[in-house]
Amino acid sequence: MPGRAHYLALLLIKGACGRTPYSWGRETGGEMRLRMLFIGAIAGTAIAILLFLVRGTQTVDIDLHMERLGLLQQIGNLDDRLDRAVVLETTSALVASRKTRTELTAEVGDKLDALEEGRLAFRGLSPGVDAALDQFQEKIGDKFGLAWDFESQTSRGMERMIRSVDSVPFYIGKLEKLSDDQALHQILRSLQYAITTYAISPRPSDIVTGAVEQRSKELEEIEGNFGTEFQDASKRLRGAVNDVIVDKTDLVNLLNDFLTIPTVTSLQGVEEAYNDYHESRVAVANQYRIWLAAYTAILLLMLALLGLRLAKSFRDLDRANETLEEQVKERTADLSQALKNLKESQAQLIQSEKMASLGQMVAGVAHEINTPLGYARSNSSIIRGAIRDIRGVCEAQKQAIELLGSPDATDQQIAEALENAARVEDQIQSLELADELDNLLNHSEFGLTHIGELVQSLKDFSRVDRTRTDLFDLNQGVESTLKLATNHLKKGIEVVKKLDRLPEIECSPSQINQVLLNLVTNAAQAIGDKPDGRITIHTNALNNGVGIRVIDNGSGMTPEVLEQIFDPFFTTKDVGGGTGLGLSISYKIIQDHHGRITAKSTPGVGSEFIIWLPSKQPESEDGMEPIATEALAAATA
Amino acid sequence: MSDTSQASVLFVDDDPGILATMRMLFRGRYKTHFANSGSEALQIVREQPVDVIVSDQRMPAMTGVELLRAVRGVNENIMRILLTGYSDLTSIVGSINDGEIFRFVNKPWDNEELLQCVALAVDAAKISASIEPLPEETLEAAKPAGHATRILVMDDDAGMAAKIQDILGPEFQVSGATTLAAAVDQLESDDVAVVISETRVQSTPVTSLLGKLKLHKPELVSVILTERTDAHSAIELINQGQIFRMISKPLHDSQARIAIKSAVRQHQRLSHAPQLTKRYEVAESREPVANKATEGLLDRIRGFRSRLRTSA
Repeated sequence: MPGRAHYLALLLIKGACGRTPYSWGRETGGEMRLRMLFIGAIAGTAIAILLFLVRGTQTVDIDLHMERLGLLQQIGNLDDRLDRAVVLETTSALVASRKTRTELTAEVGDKLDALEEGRLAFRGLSPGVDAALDQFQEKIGDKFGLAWDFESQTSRGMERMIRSVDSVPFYIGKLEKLSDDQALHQILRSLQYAITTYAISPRPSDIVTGAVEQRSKELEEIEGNFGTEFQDASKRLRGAVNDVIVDKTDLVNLLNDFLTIPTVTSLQGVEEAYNDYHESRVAVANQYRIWLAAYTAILLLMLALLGLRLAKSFRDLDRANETLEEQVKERTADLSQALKNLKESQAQLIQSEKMASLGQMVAGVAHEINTPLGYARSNSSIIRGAIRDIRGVCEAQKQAIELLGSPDATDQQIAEALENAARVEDQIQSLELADELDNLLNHSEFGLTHIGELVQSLKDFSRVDRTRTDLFDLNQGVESTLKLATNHLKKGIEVVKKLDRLPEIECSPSQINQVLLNLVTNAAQAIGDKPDGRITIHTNALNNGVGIRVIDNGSGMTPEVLEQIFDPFFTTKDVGGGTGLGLSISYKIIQDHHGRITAKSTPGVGSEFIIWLPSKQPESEDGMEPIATEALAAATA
Repeated sequence: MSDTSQASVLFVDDDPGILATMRMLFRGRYKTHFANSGSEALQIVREQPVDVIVSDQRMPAMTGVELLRAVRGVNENIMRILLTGYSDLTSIVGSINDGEIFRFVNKPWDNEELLQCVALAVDAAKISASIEPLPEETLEAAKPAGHATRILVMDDDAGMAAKIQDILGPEFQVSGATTLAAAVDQLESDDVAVVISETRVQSTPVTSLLGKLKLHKPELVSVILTERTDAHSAIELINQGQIFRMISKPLHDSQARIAIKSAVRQHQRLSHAPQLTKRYEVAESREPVANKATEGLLDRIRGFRSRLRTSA
């Protein structure tokens, strides 16, 4: 029963919660605690009611009931045996029978105590039982009282009667000696027999009593026929018989008094009262049983409702799970799309950073190229015009010379031609002009050479390479990078190169050049308008590789800035001044080359970037991310 | 020719090749001066009369824009031309707003065009040198009394005119136009002093419209108010539109107020001395006008100028 109750309680708790597990999580802590408290109270009440009802049904203890009935029966039996012992005692003054009665009395005493108190106690069960018990105790008390009287009274009466009875054979023997009359002998024998029977009967029947009286009367009737001795003896005999009858009657009356005390009835009264009590208890228990049944039915009903509710919850849960899976699929698809987009935009960002740094470089290079291109082109057209002028001089002079050599020419014609030639020459100043043109051509040549160098640097800078296994002299990279970065360095920044002889290293030259350009550009920007700006570039062979240091005496960086410079999108430049990817890409390039890049800086003093690159790349690494090289190649092609 | 032969032109470039070429190209045309740095050029400007200065942008120590700004401070009458191989947007905008330059010439250049451009500049310089500079009080007095100065805003955003009105205050009467046609209508009927325009209105570039307006209504001053532009269109705007200022969106109250007020003053100056408009002559666009609608509008502009003449 308690197990079942526990189970029911559990179900009750579940039922009272009445929610799918989904809705639980949405509550605040306070609501949750209140709810749990409420549920606990309901469950506790339900269990208490159940226990109360179960206890109500258990008030009737059948074993105890049977034991109590047994006790009553034992008491009845003992009473009966006590009666019989008393009766027996009245007939035979045997010590044994007295002893039995004493034991019985003690036993009855115990049982009576058991009625009053102890496990089987009747006292206090109900007022009816108490009343019946009181009555019974009273009767049994009377009976014991009588029994004690009886004992003292009977012992005397008994002795007297026994004496009288004992005297009867003496007188009968005397009478038989006095007469041989057969009829008399018959009567005497009958009398003896009758008196013995009478004496030993606990309660002599009327027949026995009548027989004794009859024989005594018959003896009286015939005693006149005999002598005085006989008559005297006969009278004594009859007197003894009378004594016996008198004593016996007293004893019988005493016995009757004893036996007629209604212990049995009052015991029955107790039993009846107890039975009434028991019946009422059974009735109450039955009532409880009915209530319990009803209560259980209600609980079962609630259980069924809970089951339905639970089933519904599970159905909802299943449905939710299905949609959840779909949602998860959708979200996953969205997320992977977002990831793809992110990767694409990251690639685009890296690309745009490359384009931005390239753009800055192109800006400088465009200016560097356009200036000599501008004057070289302009010079060409100037020279064309000048040649036209010189041709005019030549033609005039040629004409004069032809006229000089011609036999047909008049002096006048020759003089005019010479004068014309001199005038034209005077206008043009052809020799001076030729000097000027020479000068222009020198400039043009210089400019074209400069253009050629720039184009060569671009080619060097953007060496299209997809592997890191190219052997590259880093000093060459420094030279071409510096040539391209000239525009940033123009504002009077001094560049100091301290280039040691370097072993050629395996690397992607265009990527390393990109890093160098980035560092030099940053250094130039850090110097800004500061006078006496200086960028120093050291290269040296170091630890199975090469080391490069780019040192500037620019604005420097605070430790906070220094910490973040290799992070993507970190920039100290104004909006539009840079994407903030330059150093992070440089970092990645050097990492890809299994090298190291670090930076030191002091605000107001300057910064130093230190790169180390190994001379050989691990063999397992084949190919590199081609974006940088492709972008450079595309932009500079 | 006797006039211009005495004109003096200063060339500034850090590349001696450029200077040598200029010496040859302008030999016998003008009195030429050469400087290979900004500071040297400034010294020449201070010591000698100079009518036109042609400067490179990218030079060590002092950029072309910085130099031109300084030159303008020394002598406002010197016409300023930038000759450069490459310039970022910042320096172009700087050359417009700070340098108030006449032309922006890209390297490599065309000799004839450069000669023509310098010739125009020399003419303008000679004329403006002959005009006495106006004192500010005269300009103030020249303001038509009781009339708020008219300003036209050309922008796709109809609310821009109201914003500018707020910034300027009741002294000015700001009206808006969201299409070129509406703008031309207003220009036709009203006496507009300053046009404030986006670079594109209804996705049509305004450069040629501004250029034509400048040709036919030279005292009109234009200010570009733009969200974004590129170097190429900025150069077109200065060369073919003679824009007076270029300011960027979003509007900064004080910046816009200063730019627009100086544009209004410029308009008053030009109205007072129409000869000065030569200083702001536009170059004819080399690119053919592709847009038929724009063509129609330009015809209308030509038309309304002649009508103004007849009505005057």
